[in-house]
Amino acid sequence: MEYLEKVYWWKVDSFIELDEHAVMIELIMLEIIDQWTSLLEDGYPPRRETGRLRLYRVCHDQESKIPGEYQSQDFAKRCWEERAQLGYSVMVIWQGDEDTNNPLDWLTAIRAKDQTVFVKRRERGILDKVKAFALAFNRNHPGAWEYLFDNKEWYFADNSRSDAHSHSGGSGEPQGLSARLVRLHAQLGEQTAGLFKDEDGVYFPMVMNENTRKGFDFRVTRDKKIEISARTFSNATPVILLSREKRMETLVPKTVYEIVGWEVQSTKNFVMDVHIIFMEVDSPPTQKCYRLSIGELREDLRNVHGAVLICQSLDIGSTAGKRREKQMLLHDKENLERFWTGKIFCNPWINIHGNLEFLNGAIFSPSWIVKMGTPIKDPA
Amino acid sequence: MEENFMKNAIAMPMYHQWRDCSSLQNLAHVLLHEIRLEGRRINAHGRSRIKESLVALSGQAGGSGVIDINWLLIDKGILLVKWPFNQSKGGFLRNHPSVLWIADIKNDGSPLVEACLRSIAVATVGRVTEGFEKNFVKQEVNQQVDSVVLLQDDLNLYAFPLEETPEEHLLHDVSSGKLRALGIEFSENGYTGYFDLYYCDLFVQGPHWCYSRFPWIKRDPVLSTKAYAYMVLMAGKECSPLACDGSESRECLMLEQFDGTVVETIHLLVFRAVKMGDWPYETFFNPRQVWEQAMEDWQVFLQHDDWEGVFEVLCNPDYSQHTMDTTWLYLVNSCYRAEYDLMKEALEYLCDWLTRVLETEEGVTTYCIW
Repeated sequence: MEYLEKVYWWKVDSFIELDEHAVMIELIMLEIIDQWTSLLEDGYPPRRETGRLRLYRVCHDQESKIPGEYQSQDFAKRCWEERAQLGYSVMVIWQGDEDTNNPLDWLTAIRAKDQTVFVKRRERGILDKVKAFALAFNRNHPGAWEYLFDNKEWYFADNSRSDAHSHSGGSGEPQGLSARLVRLHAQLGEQTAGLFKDEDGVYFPMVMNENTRKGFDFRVTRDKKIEISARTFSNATPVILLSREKRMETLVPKTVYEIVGWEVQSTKNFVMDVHIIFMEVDSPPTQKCYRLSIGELREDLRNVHGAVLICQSLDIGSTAGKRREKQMLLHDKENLERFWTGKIFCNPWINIHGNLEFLNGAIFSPSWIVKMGTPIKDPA
Repeated sequence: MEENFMKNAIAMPMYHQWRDCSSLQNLAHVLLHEIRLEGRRINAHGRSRIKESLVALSGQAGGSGVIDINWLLIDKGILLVKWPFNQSKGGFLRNHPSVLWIADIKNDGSPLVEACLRSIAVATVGRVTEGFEKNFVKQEVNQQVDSVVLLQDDLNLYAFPLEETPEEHLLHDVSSGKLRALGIEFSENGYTGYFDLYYCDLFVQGPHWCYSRFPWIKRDPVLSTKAYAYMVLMAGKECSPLACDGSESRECLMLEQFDGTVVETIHLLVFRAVKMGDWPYETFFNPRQVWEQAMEDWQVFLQHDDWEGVFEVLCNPDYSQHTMDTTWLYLVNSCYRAEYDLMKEALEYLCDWLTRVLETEEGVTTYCIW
């Protein structure tokens, strides 16, 4: 009873053979309306159309190569224009490649500067993140990575280490990736985001220094992790450099912070003044002081039950924003409710990621302190 | 004509008026002032699964499914209790029971009573709170109710006998928001009862009922059901879970889940010291040396008087180097809100029990119910 496990179905609506190498297939996406009801005459449960997709399936020629016309910018442009006309996705499979069964490996046309090229569907979704990567890299400060690495889905490998490793942000990682990238900035210089053409004709996201052509390429793994590898792009490799982003909301903040010191104000209520340097784009840095009252924050969250927050953060009936908010609240509650003794509270340190860390495992990022703390005009 | 009516499960006799109780206080009022439990004889008690249509309200179409009901055979009558079920509100709404008292089952003859009596006949001996998979369970009671008192907690269920409860600890108003259970004095000497209003489960406590004489910790095997126990420790190597039908002879110690920070601490201490199964009722035997090693670790807790002291010794923090042994950090972070004195007393109780058990047994078997 395989169909019981499938909620979505694809059905071939029509197809046209374009030539001996290519076929254009119109697909309809179906959704099972009620998989528990009686089957229809065709032997399957009732279903409805929820979307369409045009798929070009292109086969190798006698020399085991994809015919040039289907790799060309003209064909990419045709796909791009058809998508705009039809209002639904137009995808391409170069049959003979590995992994073409996975729709994430299918190709889609994108416009970059004045060119139209093919990228894999799995990489298309990270172009903004790659632009943000370049921006954060050029900010040359660990604080710039705080948001970008928040989802912990990045893997990094460079020439010094062949094994890719994850950015976990945990204390078990001797060198934080953000700190490492800041150091790399000194070697590599300013980076510009773009696309480079791989040997198989598909474009992939990258960042590189326009002069030295040193930078990183980006691949998305099957489990949707972003793999970053350091590399030098040869002059023979076609690249398309995108316009420099000044700032990308939600990914890289306009302002990055740096904790430079702290003073304990009250051990009883765990009150601490934290000195933070603000660095804004195109502005000189400024120093401010924020009073962080752990005791008060804990009291505010005292009646919010952790189990309730877990449920709310997983509630599919809620909006993604609300779920995220509850998730953050849970994180705050757990962080604040750690084992607090005066001695632990009085002996924090600034960790390699630039966060304020305590021996009880509580970690406060500078942006969190700015958000939750109270600005102090004249710190005592 | 009457025969047809009797067999029509949809048509509910007009005299079967289920009474919706909006609270546990309301339920207690029905038991004490409408059924007048005092002076009556409770013959048996249990849970049955019957057709939903049999309990449909008059004028309403009954569902086509089945429903679980708790029952008490009292004198010549039967008391039925059911709860509304609401998935989005967490399942059975135990605070809103519906009750039906049929004073004379012999002369009732309704399909509902017939179905109940049939299900009682096939029920096996067990507890109504044993688990949802047990649909037909019963226990013989055969006790005359002498008097009933109002209880605000469950200490009389597992910690202290009813006769030791100070008068000032009892409630005197059936509408009190603190009301949780009924304490019953039976006519037979040495027998008392605890009627849990939330689950409608009646426990008959005879001379052999094992009271722990300590809050949180339960010792009588009858309480080894989902509703009253989570972590179970049994003396000896025998790996079958405890029987909760009154036939169990093994020594045991039990703790509930979500019963506060003291209990959570004991749970975590046991979990990190011994091997436990991954599934409900999956037993695991831990030999004597495992427990002795655990108790050696626990001595650190018994030798200190506050969490800070324990933290300093177990985690060995170096504040200047910002380093520490993180092995115990999770436990301390999770448990430091537990009042240390009480936690220490509970741990002492556990150690004493283990020491006594290990004098004669090769180890202790553990499992969890969830």
